[in-house]
Amino acid sequence: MNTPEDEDLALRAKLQRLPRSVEPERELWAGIHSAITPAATPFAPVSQRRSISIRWAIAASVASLAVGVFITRALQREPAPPMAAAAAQAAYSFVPASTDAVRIKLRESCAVQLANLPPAARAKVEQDLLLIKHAVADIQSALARDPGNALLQDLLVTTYQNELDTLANIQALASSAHSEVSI
Amino acid sequence: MAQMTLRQDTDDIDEVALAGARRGDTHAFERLYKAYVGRIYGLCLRMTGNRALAEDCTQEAFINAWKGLKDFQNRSAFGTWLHRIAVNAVLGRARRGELDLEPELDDSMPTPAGLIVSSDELQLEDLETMLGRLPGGARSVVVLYAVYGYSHEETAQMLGIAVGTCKAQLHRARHLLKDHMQAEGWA
Repeated sequence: MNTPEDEDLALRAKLQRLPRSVEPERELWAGIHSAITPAATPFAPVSQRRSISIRWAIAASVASLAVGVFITRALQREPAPPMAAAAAQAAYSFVPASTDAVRIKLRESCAVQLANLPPAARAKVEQDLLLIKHAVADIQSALARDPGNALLQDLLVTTYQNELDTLANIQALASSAHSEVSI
Repeated sequence: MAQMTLRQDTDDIDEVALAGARRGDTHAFERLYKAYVGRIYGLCLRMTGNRALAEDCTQEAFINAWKGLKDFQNRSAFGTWLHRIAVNAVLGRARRGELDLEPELDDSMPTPAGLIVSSDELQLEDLETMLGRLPGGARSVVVLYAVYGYSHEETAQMLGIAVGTCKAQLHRARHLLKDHMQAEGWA
């Protein structure tokens, strides 16, 4: 009489005749692929769209600054009446009034992504932003004393540019970190 | 050789594709998918006995495999690892009530005298039909043990049951298969 083990093996010998591979009738890869890849075209992911809009904001802001500097210098070529101290304070308003609002908005929109960066990268970006903030304060203070100083005006524009580039870089770093986590 | 074991099947794994997939290359993962989809779908189809469920489980298995690739340590063959994921996908459906894999075992069932599968003329289609008639729990054990060549211990571990339960389910399956064969006039 066969033992249960013999019977198990005999059953296996018979059933191993069955093909192990059975091709599905329906194509399954497309569903798998869409599940394992980030949201694709035609619409960019939200993070990417935000990055694009910030780049546009940066470009628009820098362009406004450049135009402001150009206009201010053009006006300074004309003989100017003596300016009161209050007017001098506002003289460096070649910077569009909206610039500070744009800068604050950009910083706020980047704050969450900044918080999610790896510690080393976050520390570096925060240090850069702090240096830029101090530089802007120093330049604005100097411009308040010497509003017509073209060098200071250029320096302020360049510093704003650096700040906006740094903020844009946060977007790139955040996207890169997100991709690594996804993988 | 017709009677290859699962482990021999997996020896020819595309190591380049596996390495690429582990780096996040979806094209490399697609090559693995193409190499294994038949075996995974076959397993799911036989365990569930339902084409749509088997397709869903197959997709779920590959998606979960992708997510878990970075944790795959080569301690087992890739095919075995993938099978475990597929079995978990099927068991998950059963836990959610989409599939009945755990009918009550009848302990009073008599031991079958002699092996049931005695007809060499039995066609593969008939074998498949008989397999599909088995209740879920017994069918899962037969599929893993007899069709895919896992040991009782491996089968029990995959299904999350005791080895004794695994043997009892196989015992039950043999009995039921014998009944089916007799009913069809094959034995």
